Amino acid sequence: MRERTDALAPEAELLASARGGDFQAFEQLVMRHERLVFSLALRMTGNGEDARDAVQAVFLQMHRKLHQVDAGRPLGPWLYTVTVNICRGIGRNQRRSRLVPMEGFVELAAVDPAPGPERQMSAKEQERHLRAGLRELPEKERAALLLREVQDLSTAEVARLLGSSEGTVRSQISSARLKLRKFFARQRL
Amino acid sequence: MNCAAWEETIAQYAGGDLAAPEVRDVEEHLRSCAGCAEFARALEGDRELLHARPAEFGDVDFDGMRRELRGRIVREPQLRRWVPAVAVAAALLIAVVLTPRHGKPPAAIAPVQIAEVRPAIPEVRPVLTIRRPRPRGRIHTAQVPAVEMRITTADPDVIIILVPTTTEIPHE
Repeated sequence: MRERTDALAPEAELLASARGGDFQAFEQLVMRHERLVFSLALRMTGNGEDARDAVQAVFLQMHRKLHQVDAGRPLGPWLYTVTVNICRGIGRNQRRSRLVPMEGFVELAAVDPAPGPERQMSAKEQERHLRAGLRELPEKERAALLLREVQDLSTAEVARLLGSSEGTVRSQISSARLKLRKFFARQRL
Repeated sequence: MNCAAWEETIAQYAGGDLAAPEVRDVEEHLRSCAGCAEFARALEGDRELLHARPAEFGDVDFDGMRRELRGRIVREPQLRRWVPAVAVAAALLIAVVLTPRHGKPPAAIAPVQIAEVRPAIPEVRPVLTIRRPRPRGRIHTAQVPAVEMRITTADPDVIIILVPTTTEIPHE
């Protein structure tokens, strides 16, 4: 009898079942990570359409490489590395074809310097400003900052995922924070 | 206004990337510098923004994305099966196109024999014959004596004759 896939089963167990051809187990893994992968892809690429494509590509790759994933380690960091690489590929293709999405750049009206209760920025506006600021960062700094902040990884983990030294990553992250702050200051955010 | 010299350290402090002694230094500075304290608070606000869930999360159809993914995974093995088959078919097609129509291999090309050919260039033995003696004294450029040079060769039918021209050079 086929074992029922439990939504609360440990990740390693789900991975083993998925390797054995259990598609439900694979989908459970997808469901556990899709939001964080989407969130990372959204802020790496700067637009929802590319983020959706990236999520599909990430999980397709995971399905192809199920046997190469180390079951002794959490799946998240492996997926984030794949996400960063896929998003970089999307960015390169856009630069090559000059089809850079303008979503993050347009309609960035300066925020009221003294916003009262009637002029609060909506979550969508804030998100748009954040993405516009992230797009101003060099790709490596953006990836390091997002892995550190959005995925809540330690500096050492980020360094391992990006194949850099801890010192380099620490410097990239602080540089990214400062650039982002200056961008927001210009936007009076 | 914050202190430019403290910016990077405060950015590391805000991200929790400083060791304990440095944290103490930064906190001491923040207590005495309102501009840097404001800067640190702004950096903290940026972190909260980064941690917040993207606004359009509610609009994302994750179920639909999973359905699409399932469809792609199901199609993928079929595509992978077809790729080698298509490659073999293409190779066969190329082979058929390149094979001669009647199935006969092209006739072997006879080896070409190249005979050694030596160019019949006659041996040149220049013999200088001056017909008129060279006049002494000053020679006017317009009255250059005609000197004919003959070069005979080993071939009696070939004689090279050099005849100078007597073009008059105008006086300045």
